[in-house]
Amino acid sequence: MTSIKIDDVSFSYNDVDVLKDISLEFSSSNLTCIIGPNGVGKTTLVKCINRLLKPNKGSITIDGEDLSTFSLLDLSKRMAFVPNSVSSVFSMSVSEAILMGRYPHSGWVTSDYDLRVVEDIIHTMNLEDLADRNFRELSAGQTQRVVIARGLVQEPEILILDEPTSNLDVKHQMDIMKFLNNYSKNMNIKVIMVCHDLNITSNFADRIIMMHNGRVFADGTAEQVMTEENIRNVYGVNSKIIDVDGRPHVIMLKD
Amino acid sequence: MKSNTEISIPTLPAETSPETNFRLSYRSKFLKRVAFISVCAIICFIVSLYSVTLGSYGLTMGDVFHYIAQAIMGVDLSENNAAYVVLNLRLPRIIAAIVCGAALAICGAAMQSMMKNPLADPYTMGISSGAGFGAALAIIFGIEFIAGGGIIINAFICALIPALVILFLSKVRRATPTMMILCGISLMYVFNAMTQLFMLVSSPDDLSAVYTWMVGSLADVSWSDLAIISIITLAGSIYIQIMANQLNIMGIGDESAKTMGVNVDRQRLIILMVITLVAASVVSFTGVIGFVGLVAPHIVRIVLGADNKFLIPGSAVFGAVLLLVSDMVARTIVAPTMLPVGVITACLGGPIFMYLILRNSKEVWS
Repeated sequence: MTSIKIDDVSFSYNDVDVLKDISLEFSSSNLTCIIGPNGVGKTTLVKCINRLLKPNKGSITIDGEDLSTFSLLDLSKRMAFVPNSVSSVFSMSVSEAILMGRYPHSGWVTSDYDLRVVEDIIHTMNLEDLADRNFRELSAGQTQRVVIARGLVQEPEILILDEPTSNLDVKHQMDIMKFLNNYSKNMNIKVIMVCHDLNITSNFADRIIMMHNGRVFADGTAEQVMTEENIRNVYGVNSKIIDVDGRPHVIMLKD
Repeated sequence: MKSNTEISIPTLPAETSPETNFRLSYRSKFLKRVAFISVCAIICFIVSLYSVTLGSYGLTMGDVFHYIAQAIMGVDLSENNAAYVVLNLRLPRIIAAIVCGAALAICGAAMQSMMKNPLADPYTMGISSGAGFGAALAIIFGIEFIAGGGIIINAFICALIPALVILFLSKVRRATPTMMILCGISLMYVFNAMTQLFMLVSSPDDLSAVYTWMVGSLADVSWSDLAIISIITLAGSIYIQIMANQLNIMGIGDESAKTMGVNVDRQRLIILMVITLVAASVVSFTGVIGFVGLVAPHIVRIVLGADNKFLIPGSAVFGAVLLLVSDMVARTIVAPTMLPVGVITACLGGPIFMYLILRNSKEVWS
């Protein structure tokens, strides 16, 4: 099984330290959510993991091999990324957009296997009705599902998402979270995502990493991480934690 | 009945799944696209044969076939006027129209996809104005960068300058598409200003020569010129076609592209260099033939979609037809005077383009 090890990683933009001495390990296939206030370095951390950014210090390894020894193409066969916004100048159909995700594996020739993988994902994500629509004419929720589908056809061992649910309504957010949680276990892949909503995270995440000032503040299950004290220290707000169906639920207090 | 927004629980991919709508529609689309490209190629062939018979020296298709066949078989035709017209006046020009049209359209298509900018074409990068500047240097001042090279070598070298500047700047900082385009446009202004300055002090004859060069013409392309243009174009288009998938992926944004295994920054520079080389080789022999590079890819995109695997060959054949027809009109409309083909491409391409934009309710680009 793939394991990612982050060892003592620091990162700074110019002179501003964003990540400070972060050490983490991802070894089981589940849905891990990274939470924390704005500007705390969540996105920077995931971008270090998928090599969009290069840490100033420390190392990140996949199965013991240093990330910097991978070529972009080799890495893309094992790791997929879903950015939080997408743009496309020229129009293409939804199925074409998803098919692009096969690039790392297929190169120039689109094989029947590529088409079948795309077809399966379209079915799995319930995108049949949209397959021939223009990608640019979709709603935010539909677009997000297509981009996730594109990441999944890469057949990654690790799927990284940067706030995939930030502009979706509650129902869409829950659908996607539930899907990712199931998918990580059924397909035996690691899903690491940056998330904002504490209650949705608490409901669906198997593991939560709470960040504060560029460091890992708390790391564990929802019960371990979502405490009134942690939320006060990290977000600076008072809250009350109640138990709903065995999961901690955060109620924000006015003062 | 599942609602559209609901996402089902994952299912593992089946070992063999039945042929369903998606794969069928992918295949039928594929066939449709290949059909379009083939039809354009056939039209191109027929039009070019017809085109050889046109002109002040009356010839029939039969004559044309006859002389071409004889020339291929190595019969000496040097004393035959009709053969001379076919083989040395009309054929090179017609083949030049096909090759240059294809080359400019491929460059335009690749440029637009890579820069994520529907207005990009080889000329936006300052290639044409660079070439114009080089040509003006040779025509007005007789300055030659390589002795004996004349207008062509000058134009070629100056057309490469913008790409070299971008290459140099990218060593200092990341070359984003915006930076590349702004860089090309600013160089374009510099080159144009210099050329205009030269034109102010030039004699009327030189002025007319520079002007003719700036609107582009296929009249003076010889067999040996054609060989050079064809080799560079062929090599360039094969490379760009191989890169078609990478071009597609560059269109979805740099970060996404990197996480899909495309080294965007490096690849963009390499493709830019290839495009510059191809466009510069065309421009330096024919002068600035505008509009084909910009319009052909857009028209083809309306029919074939934005997938570069089909867009590149589609644009090539369409660009060839466009330039071929334009040149045919340029040769015949006010015969025996021959108009510069650049004027016709714009006059013909502009209205077609506008009609297609207006007719097409679906936006193909934004």
